[in-house]
Amino acid sequence: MIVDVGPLDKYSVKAASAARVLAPLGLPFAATELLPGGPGGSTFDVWGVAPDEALLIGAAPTAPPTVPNAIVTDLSSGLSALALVGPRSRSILEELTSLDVADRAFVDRAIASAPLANVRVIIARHDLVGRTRFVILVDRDLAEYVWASTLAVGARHGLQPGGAMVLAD
Amino acid sequence: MTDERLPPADGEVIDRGSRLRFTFDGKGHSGHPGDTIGSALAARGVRMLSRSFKYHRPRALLCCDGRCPNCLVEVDGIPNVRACTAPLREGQRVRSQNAWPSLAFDVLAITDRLDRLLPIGFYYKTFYRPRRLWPLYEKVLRRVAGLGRVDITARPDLAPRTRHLHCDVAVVGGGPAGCIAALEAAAAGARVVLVDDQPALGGHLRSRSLPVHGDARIEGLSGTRAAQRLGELIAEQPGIETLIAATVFGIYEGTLLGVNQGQTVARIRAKRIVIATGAHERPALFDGNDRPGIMLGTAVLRLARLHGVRSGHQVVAIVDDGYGWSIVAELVAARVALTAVIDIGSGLPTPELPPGIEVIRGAAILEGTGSRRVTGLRIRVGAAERLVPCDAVAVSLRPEPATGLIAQDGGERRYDDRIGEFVAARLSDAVSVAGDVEGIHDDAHTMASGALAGLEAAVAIGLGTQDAIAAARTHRAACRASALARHGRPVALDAPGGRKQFVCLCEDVTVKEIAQGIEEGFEDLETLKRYSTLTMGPCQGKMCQGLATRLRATLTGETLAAAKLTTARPPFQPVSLAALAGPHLEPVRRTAMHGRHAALTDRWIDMGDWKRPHIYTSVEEECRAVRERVAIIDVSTLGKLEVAGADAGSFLDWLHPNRFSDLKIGRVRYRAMCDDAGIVLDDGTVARLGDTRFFLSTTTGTIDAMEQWLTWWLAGTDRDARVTNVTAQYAAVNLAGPRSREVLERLTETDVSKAALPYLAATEAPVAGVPAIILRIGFVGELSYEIHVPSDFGGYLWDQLTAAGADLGITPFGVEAQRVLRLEKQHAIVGQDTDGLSNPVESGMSWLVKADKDDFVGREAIAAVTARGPQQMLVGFELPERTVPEEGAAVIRDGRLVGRVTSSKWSPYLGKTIGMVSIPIEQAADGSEIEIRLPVGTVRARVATKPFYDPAGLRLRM
Repeated sequence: MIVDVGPLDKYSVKAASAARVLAPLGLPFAATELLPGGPGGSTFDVWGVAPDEALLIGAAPTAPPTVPNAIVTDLSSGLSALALVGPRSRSILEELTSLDVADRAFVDRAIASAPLANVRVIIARHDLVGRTRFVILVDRDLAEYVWASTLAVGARHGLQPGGAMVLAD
Repeated sequence: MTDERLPPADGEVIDRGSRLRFTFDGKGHSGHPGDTIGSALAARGVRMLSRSFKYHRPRALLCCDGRCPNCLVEVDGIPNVRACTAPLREGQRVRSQNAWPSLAFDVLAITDRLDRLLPIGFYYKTFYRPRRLWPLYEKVLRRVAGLGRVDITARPDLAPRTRHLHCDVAVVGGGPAGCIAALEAAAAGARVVLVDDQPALGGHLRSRSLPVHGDARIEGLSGTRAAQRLGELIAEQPGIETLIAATVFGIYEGTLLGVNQGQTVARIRAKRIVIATGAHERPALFDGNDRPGIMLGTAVLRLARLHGVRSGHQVVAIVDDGYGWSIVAELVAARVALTAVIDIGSGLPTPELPPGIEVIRGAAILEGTGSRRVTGLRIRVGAAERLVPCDAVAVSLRPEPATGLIAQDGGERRYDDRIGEFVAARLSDAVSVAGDVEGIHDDAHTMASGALAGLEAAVAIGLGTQDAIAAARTHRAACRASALARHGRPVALDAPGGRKQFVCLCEDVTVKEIAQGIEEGFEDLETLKRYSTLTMGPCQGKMCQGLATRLRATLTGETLAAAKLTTARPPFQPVSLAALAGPHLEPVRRTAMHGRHAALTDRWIDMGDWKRPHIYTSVEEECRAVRERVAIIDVSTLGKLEVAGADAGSFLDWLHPNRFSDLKIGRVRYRAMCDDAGIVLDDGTVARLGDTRFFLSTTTGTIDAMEQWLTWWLAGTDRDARVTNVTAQYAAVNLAGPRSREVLERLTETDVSKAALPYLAATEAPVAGVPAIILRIGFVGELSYEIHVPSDFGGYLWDQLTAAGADLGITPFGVEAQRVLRLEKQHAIVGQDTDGLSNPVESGMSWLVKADKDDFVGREAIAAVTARGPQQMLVGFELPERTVPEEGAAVIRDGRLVGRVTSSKWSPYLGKTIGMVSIPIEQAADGSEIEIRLPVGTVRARVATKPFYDPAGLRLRM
């Protein structure tokens, strides 16, 4: 299944060391990993996309986070999130991206910036209970194209569009 | 119709219980599932399949392995299909190529008799006099050149795919060495991809019946059964993905393999590669060595064992070492009707053969007789000549290692005197070889080297143990020594004479022509190759490279040890362009307002990946709306960056010839960015929205490059500045026209009067209830506002603005109108009015350059231009008439090119042609005349250095 993940609030946090600025807020950070928001009432997942950048992604509506000593930029409108769910997700991604998404190469909660359907996206593996799931962040302007391309390539693998209910654990 | 089927036997892949019908040149035939097109035709006694490239000689099956050019046919409209490997399918329409009017009677076969008039490189020596006849020559040459014809109107139902695979060890070649290498590597824990170009694993074992020795897993099994067993073991072993009927056509970037499997191209990224591509038999050299019926020994064997097809009723084998004799034994076991074996110099004892097979030793083969089919071999033994009658020949000379991929990878190949072949002498770090590609053709050695290669590959990536490697190395060395002892010494190349001894079957290059080329001075193999085109045909040297190298060495006196093979380049086997292109995935960017535009127009323009509305109603109407009322354009495609941090201002100072650190909060400034050489890269605006926050816009389509540029200059410094790409975050419109303020005032409570928000001011305020950045700037020379809102509200903003301005006649305007309007103001577009040599001084932007600034990127280069003075200048031009020169048209003076037109449009509002040109400084004075070349003739235009519309800029400051 491919699912438009729906409204999420997304904020870019940039600092010389993203880990250092997020730790006091209880937001665990590791470059190239997706980690759930920590204690302190935070409602964001932390996507470590680079040592100096994290994406804070939370269910909308969320108040913009205050992160001292960092530049926080609202990207809620600028990024779309698509989820690819199911046992054939890998076979479909294999035809779209050069990223190694094999089970032992791209483990649960891994993140990578990679080309997909000839555009640059951020891909995270974020499994649901018993189901493999890949979440793809892409520029909003390209979302329709990525959606259509994934469906076209995934057709021979039985890919179908799904609603948000599919993502319920 | 003849029936050349052998009785059923173990190992055949055809299903005799079913029949498939097809046509060849319009005649009906049939075959069985499991047949190839070639084997099905051979079973029906159809031998001739094609005509050769230059001499149009009859050609037939030769290799049955997908390497030679002899069986290229057209199948269902697709040209250049190899009949020997293409699976037979029901209803196929197969046509021969390169023959007219028919394969049996080809008019151009006359060229075979005119070879004296068509020597090597004849096309360099003819067809250029008289010059006036060249159009005629070209027409004829185009008609006769090439092989298959492409139907450019055809739309075959292709569904190309691309796959990206990753593995620890990629094994190229699914013969015994490759299979065992894959098994050993996977058993050690490696992820393995095994690629083989045959429809099933097992390589040459598939067509063998004699027992195989050398590995416990298949010890004593017949070749056929051993191949099957290897396939089973591969399937049972976890961690191996197998691609069959797949060809590795190239090695790129070290360990990236390109693989073609039908209409799929797979890119395999491996940590280690094992090349187990085996070895190929090659033709022998004698006059008429291309007669139909003269085949490679393995081809005869394959036809017999896999497809149950008889190649002939009187078959003569040619051998030169132990390998050849092993093929003879297999041919006998396969019930091939062998009548003679000609051993041209192995020096090995004759093995036991059934009665009726004559063994002829020490013969020189002079000629293959016959025309449409071989009828005999004329040989000389001692001083006596005789004719050995036959209707098929199985040539099993020492095979050449298939080292093409090794060479592509940068590996070195050298002649091994003991083995008598060119083998890998040096490999790149991540590559190893296994099996017959090492030049030793012996089952035990093949499998020992496969096992060693697999183990070594696994250990190299941290899997497996070193202990097993030592034992494997010892075993392989022993197998090698044993194999070398059993096989004869290499036999020197013999080219006994005759006009039609073909070296390169693809291009019809003969021994005589190669000799002539060397005599003409093309002694170096690479120049000889280019002069003669040998190795440049469909086989890419698989049939002829070794022969050509040996022949050249013989003719020039060079030793083989010093000889080099020709350069190997991908693709190793042909790949269709459709497969290489893959599925049609062409990125398309759509703004948040795309749906609004689609409802109003179907005239779009592509600007990079973006789809933008080109024209809504008409250029004139849209321009008039901007100039006289109010209009709106979607400018969401502009690149946008937020540059924030304590050092953001000084960082922008570093990147631009002008200053931004002194820009006040709430102000906007024009920017043009240059590279180190002072070349204009991009332009746009910078708005200061906070003490440490700047909002920067770029040209549509350059945002990725500009983000990279800024990030690059920031990296490794301790500047407190961060760059964030917010292009997709904001949708934007430009609301323009003398009544634009009225519209905006209806949607915001913020004071946007001239006093409160003057020209080049910026503010953040809600518009229609949505948080917005409002910039009082414009590109089209009228009062205008650039309004940025979060993209989610883009469509909503458009709706609100068009509703608010409806009574004022608000009109959407597209890219074409915008281009005319900005040209009326002589606003340059970077990338259109500038190019890779444009600096700001000569592009009319010298006012931007602050020479008193601290160092900035491009400072030295711009200073040098300023010091020497501009030599070119970008200025406007106008024409009173409606002639519109093409953009890019030449500006000429005294008949010589001195400049070019960069932009050119008809302005309906001004009623004249306007544009911009880059011309020599001495012609750039206002009012000067310049001459512009048109498609036919020239036109004289007048230089205008001031904007054509509102030169004082009063309207945009309203």
